[in-house]
Amino acid sequence: MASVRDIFFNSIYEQIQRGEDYYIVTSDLGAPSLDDLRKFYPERFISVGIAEQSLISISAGLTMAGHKVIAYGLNPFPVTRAYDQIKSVVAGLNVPLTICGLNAGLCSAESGYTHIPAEDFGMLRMLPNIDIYNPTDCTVSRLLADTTAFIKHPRFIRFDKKLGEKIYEKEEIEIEKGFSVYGPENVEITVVTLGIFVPGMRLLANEFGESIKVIDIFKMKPGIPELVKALRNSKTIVTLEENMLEGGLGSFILEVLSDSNLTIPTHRLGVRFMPYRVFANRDYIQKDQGIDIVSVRKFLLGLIENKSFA
Amino acid sequence: MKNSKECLNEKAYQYRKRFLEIFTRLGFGHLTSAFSWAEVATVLFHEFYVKGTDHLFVSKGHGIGILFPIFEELGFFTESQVDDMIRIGGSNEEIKKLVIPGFDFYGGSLGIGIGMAAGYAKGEKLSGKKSRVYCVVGDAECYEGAVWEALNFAGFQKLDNLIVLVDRNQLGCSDFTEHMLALEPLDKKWSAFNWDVQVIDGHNVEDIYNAVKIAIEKKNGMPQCIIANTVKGKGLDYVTGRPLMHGYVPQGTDIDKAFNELQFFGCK
Repeated sequence: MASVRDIFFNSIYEQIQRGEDYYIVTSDLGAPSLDDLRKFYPERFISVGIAEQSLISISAGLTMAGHKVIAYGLNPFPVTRAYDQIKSVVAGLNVPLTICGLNAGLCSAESGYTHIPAEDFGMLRMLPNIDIYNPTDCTVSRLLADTTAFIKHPRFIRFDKKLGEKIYEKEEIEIEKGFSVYGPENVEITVVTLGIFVPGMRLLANEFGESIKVIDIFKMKPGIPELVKALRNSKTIVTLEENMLEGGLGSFILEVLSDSNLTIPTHRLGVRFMPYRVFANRDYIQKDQGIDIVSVRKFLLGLIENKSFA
Repeated sequence: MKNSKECLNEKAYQYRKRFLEIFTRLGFGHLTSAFSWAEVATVLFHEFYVKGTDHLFVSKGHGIGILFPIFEELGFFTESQVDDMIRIGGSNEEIKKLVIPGFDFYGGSLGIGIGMAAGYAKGEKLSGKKSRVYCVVGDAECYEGAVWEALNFAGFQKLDNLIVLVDRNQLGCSDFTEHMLALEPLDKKWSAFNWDVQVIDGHNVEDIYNAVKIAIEKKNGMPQCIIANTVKGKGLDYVTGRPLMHGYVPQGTDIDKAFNELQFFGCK
């Protein structure tokens, strides 16, 4: 299975072959999907070394000089190390640069605490102009690549290396709207989640029949009126993410509900405390934080059996 | 030179004076950072800058104030537009929209503009354009690691269309650079990153002219650095040579004092 990252870059490569003026600027990160680009269009692959601040400011300069630029680095560093560059220039001046980060949530957690981008959503969603994407499958990733040449605002796309399998048909996805709904309109529980959780939650929705629907937020921030409409007919909401809970998806949903005068009981599942003193991987941390599929199923069953939302 | 030495000195004096008018009315600004590169800015815009072709990145954003009087004279803005812009509640959209020909970035936070300038210079080369990309960097800005990341990139990429002027006024906010953390030998450090370096008197308009001319004419595959030795706050004796004057703009009785004591120090 090609990952969402490789699907994205394969599409960008095809566009370059058709004459599109892309430059990939990287802070010492490659990809199988970039090998041909490096071989046949070496001038379009520009390395700045392991220097994320430089990655963002040089990419911004290249973009301002009229080129279509994708800055590509190992997440979280393009965000956390170069946050000031993104804030002051890319977001602040609305430079239409695409920033791609390999790693979403806990997908590379075995590399250690420093390599877990659990704060990137929270950090970036405070900034103006920038759209944040977490492609769920090959369809979303391909659509993001297809629209990259036409962006008017900066984008941050983070790739989960475990994702790539097809979930959506092209017709089901509206990139700008930013989310997809699976399940009936009126439900007892709406699970609002993203990325790696989506396939599992859809399976649980099938198991629990008509009582659950799943909203996949693949873009922060999605279209708010449409999202409010999708949330409105739920008795309770469960948010599920691999981000730190402070500032993450759950916080975002609570803000949307509050701003829309909607009072719906909401439970936030995510990373409350990053276990940084143990050797851990995604499975370990998910279990530790109660966000693995078994724990989430138990939690949802508890809500249904106790009718705690009634 | 298109303009005489006397003419350029007179312009720099008038720009400082107009800066005082604009920013004492606002009640906020960075006089010392603006005054230290007044001659550099004057020579750059009146002798070399090609409107619509060349580009300027003011990486030391606090020094931007000296450009407003220059832009008025060059016709980028009228005086009334500047007056309307530089006030609390005034719009900076015209700058932020990047619509001023060649004026790409107005600075801050420190260490970013030079990276953008390097990226822009690379972009211009990739497009086959013959433009020049100028960048003004503060000396204390060189404490930022991002500056050296950009230097490394520009040296390796042989960006000889990039000309950086370092405003070497010896002062950061709180202290002299050589007291708090020595930057010297600054020229050797830039050279070590494969830059062609000149060191000049940054208030001598002839020196500035000659250095920029050399930098433009040298096509040696190296980005060009001109370290301009300057005095922070040059033109107002009572603010020069003093730490903690970084965010100074005259207020109250200091306003008359500043106008009265503003010096013309070039040759008439």
